[in-house]
Amino acid sequence: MIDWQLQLRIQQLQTRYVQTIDDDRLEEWPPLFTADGRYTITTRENHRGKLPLALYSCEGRGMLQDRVTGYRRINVYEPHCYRHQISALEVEPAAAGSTSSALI
Amino acid sequence: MTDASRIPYRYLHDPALYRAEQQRIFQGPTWHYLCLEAELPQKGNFVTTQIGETPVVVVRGDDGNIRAMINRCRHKGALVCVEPRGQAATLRCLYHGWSYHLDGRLRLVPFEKGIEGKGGMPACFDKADHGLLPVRTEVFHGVVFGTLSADTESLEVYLGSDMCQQLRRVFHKPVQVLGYYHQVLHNNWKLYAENARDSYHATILHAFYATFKLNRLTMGGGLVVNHDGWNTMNYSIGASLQEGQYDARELRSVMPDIGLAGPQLLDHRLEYADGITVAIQSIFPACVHQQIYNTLAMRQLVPLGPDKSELHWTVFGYADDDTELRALRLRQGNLIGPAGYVSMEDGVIGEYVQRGIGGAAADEAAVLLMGGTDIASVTDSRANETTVRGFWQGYRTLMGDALDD
Repeated sequence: MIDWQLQLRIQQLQTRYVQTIDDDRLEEWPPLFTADGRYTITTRENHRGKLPLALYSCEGRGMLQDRVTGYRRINVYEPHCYRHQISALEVEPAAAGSTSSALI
Repeated sequence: MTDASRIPYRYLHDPALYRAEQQRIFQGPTWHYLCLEAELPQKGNFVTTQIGETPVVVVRGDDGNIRAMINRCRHKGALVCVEPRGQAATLRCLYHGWSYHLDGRLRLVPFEKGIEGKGGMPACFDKADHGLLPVRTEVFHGVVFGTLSADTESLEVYLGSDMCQQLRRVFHKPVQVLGYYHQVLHNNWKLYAENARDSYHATILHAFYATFKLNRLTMGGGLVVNHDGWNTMNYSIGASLQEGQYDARELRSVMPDIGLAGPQLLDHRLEYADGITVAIQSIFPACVHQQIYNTLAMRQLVPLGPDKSELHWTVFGYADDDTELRALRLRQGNLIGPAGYVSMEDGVIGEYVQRGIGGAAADEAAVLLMGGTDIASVTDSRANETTVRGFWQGYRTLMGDALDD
């Protein structure tokens, strides 16, 4: 049985999350995580090979804020901007709460 | 000895030089990092890689030995192994099914005798003459190197004593791969090769290093050159930092008002008795071995054309890492790789040079005069480009008259 309310809430969170990034309001992005939230970007190769190394590996909101500071002030990189295209959301019940996934 | 303190920009985009490099440098008397022995734990494990443009497969054979071969079927030249790594009982080409033993000997040619005695290979065809071409290989403390030239010195002589010592220092016990990064660089491969040897830029371009005092030229450290400058190491000792000299008004990389909200990123453990916290070792022409605090990696540079290259990172820890140390390594992964606080900047700066030198006159050249014109180890200052000059000395030695106008 699909919990439509839950599905909708996750979808709204996801929409807000993506717009925060696409609109370059990055300072509003870390507060979307819990204080101990984890954020990882890895590669297909490492994921499939069950290798733990990631491109981004942030533990806690503070490390997310630092990534924003790096982007805004510290690092030198080729300028770029984002426009996310996201697939439909799949929500699965889990032992505690639920997990959701979508392709970006 | 040629003067390596002026390097014409044409070295960095001339297609004719790119062609000559494949033959004189990558197929010349040079050693190339291929993989780690830890990636080939079982018989039949293989890793595919390249030495310059030449495809290479490294295999652990049925006898347990590690061999490298040119990954090119002796029939029509197709790649034999396609996947980055895998496990195989035999190496079989997809095109016409020619199949090789793990040691490279040709074992089977489909329809070699034809069908019902018609067609097939002539009697003069000898499978023994059509094995995969061997690549000379040496394994040094678990690091697998290969060379395409019969004239290359033995690996230890080529590396030099300090370079051997640095590899022994890090590979002193079994390692375990933690993951890989791959990134395309929109610049000539040599811009990255010299960037890794360049201590001068490290704490000026990389604000993360200087601001958080991970690496500064005002730390103890040094520049080491072996083999006439071909192979180099830049190192620093974090605990020896002297304050001062880094002026926030003049250097973008010093940002006194910036702190970290997640300071655990900088947590580290001293792993080596010498206190060295950053050590970047470059092995001519295209290999970099890195220790940045607790991150350990081999980087391999593959040229993709006069103005494009690819960088492959193999990041590892030790097989016996405790949970906390493993977590430190993975967290410090935020510093390195294509999205690393430090390394992302090396990914873009080469491109800025490549774009900057477009249209340069034939006699325009880079100036590499920090510390003079010598190419020698320096222990009292890293405000010196001796290691960069060393790279270019090796380049000129091998390229010879190909560099003549």
